[in-house]
Amino acid sequence: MNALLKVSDLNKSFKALHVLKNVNMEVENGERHVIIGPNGAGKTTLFNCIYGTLTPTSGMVYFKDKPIHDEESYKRVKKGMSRTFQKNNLFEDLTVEENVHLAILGNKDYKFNPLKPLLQYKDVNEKKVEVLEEWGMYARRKWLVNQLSYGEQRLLEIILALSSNPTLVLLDEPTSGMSPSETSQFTNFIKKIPRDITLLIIEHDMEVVFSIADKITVLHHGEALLSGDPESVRGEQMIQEIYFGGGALSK
Amino acid sequence: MKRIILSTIGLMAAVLFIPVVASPYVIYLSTEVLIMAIFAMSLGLIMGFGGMPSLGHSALFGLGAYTVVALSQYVSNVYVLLGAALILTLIFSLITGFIAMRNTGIFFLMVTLAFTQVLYLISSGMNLWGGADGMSTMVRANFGFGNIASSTGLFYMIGVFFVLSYFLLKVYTSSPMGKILKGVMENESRMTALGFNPKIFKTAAYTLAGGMAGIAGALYIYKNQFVSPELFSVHTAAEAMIMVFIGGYGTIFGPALGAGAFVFIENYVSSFTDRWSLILGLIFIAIVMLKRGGIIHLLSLAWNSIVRMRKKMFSERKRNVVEVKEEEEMVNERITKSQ
Repeated sequence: MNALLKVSDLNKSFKALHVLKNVNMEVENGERHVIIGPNGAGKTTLFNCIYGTLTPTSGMVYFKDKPIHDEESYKRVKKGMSRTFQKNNLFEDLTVEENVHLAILGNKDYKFNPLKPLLQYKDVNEKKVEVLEEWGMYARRKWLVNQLSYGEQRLLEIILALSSNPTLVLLDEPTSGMSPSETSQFTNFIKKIPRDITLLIIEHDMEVVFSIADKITVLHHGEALLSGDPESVRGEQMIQEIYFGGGALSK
Repeated sequence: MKRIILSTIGLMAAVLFIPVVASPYVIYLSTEVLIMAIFAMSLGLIMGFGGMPSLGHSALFGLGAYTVVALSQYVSNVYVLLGAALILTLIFSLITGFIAMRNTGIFFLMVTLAFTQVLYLISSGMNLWGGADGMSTMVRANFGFGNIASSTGLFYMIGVFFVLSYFLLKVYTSSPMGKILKGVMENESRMTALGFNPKIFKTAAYTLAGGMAGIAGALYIYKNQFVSPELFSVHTAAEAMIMVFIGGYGTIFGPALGAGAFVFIENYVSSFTDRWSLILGLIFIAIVMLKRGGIIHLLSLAWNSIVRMRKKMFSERKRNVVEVKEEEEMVNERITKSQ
């Protein structure tokens, strides 16, 4: 079986700035694949190229064996992809459940129906209750997003990404800006996501990385230096020097 | 859906009721209010739900009006005339919307303004259809049961369109299309990431609003029998925008209230002073500075405080009854003890 997502020879430059250099990587079905790398390594740019927010300068992105790199971003959801953002990117003035409604609608064909009230669609209501209860946010459903705590907003980001029944979810630094206790709670939430959903995650917190990753790709100055299981990455001397500052993980 | 139907029935009852109690002059003004209400509600849709402030809305109003006047030289069937106005404005707004949608915010405003200006110059520059002087028509509406000529008849005819527009907008804004439109207004980049093409939803709403403004313009002819390039002016577009703001930005019914306030202030205050627009301007500034949702917001505040006061009074009365009972019991106890 071929990889679910395949990135081959991906390049992205902003004028003279060469951000991604011949990046190659594969994400298998059901995998928890974590991308690590120092600030400015091009991690988010890679995400944007995979998700179609940016068009790569050259190279290919295959999803389910079909090239998708030149397709508009909004077509990704229909194909089974979804993403979260590094900084909370939510509908601040809408309630939690309205946010979820929109996320569910993204993958429905009746999003173009102008004549039937949204709340009369049973499957929208059922899915909403399902995801909100599963993630412990049902009691918050009538709250406005800007009334939620930061951690809850981060959680809502993930709930939105999971609401459209995706097969691949891109999580861009899901724990950024969280307190240690929120982070550990969050790690447990991520572990709860069923294995039929593949996760591609950008993460800085090494504790989180090593507790969830099946495979780690190291990105440095726009190059994918290494891909492998957590143990081999942890052991790699070169990686320790450039990214972990040497010896940080040798304990 | 139940709520929408109930509010529509309520609105219908109000429209039916006005001619029963109102003087002929008020009926005459109310007819104008209803026309401007359709116009303002359609602008309210794209402004308050789509985040598209448009100065091109008067182009569509004027286009609807001009269509009726121009075609009425050849046909008088009201279905044909209104249908033509609707179709033409839908097409026009679809095309201009598609072009304008490349821009957002102030640039969107400028592009729509440009369309309005083009139509203004064409209509005032051409000798056809009266040029700068405008043109009148004798057309009367006949839906198959006689000419509608009386002012009450006209009021009811336009009232039907008003209630229909309200119902349509209510359903639209509660449907997937409408909810997505709101989402696009709130956060366009996130909507793209969630799988929506924002342009489609914005253009759809813009087109719907355009058709509605076109119908309002067509109805305007049945009331005034006269068209002039003035309809295409920035003035008309800005008036509609003011109606949206003083009535209630981000609601469906608010702009209709705004239209009512606007027309009545214009007519009643102008009988005291020529500076009626000064009064209107002050109200407008007050509402914008207070950052409140206009008249509809004030009404709902008033309604809420009435409800709260009633609740309070009710619970106080209850408490009094309980207290009296408790006192009686205490007195009784004392009596039995002393015995």
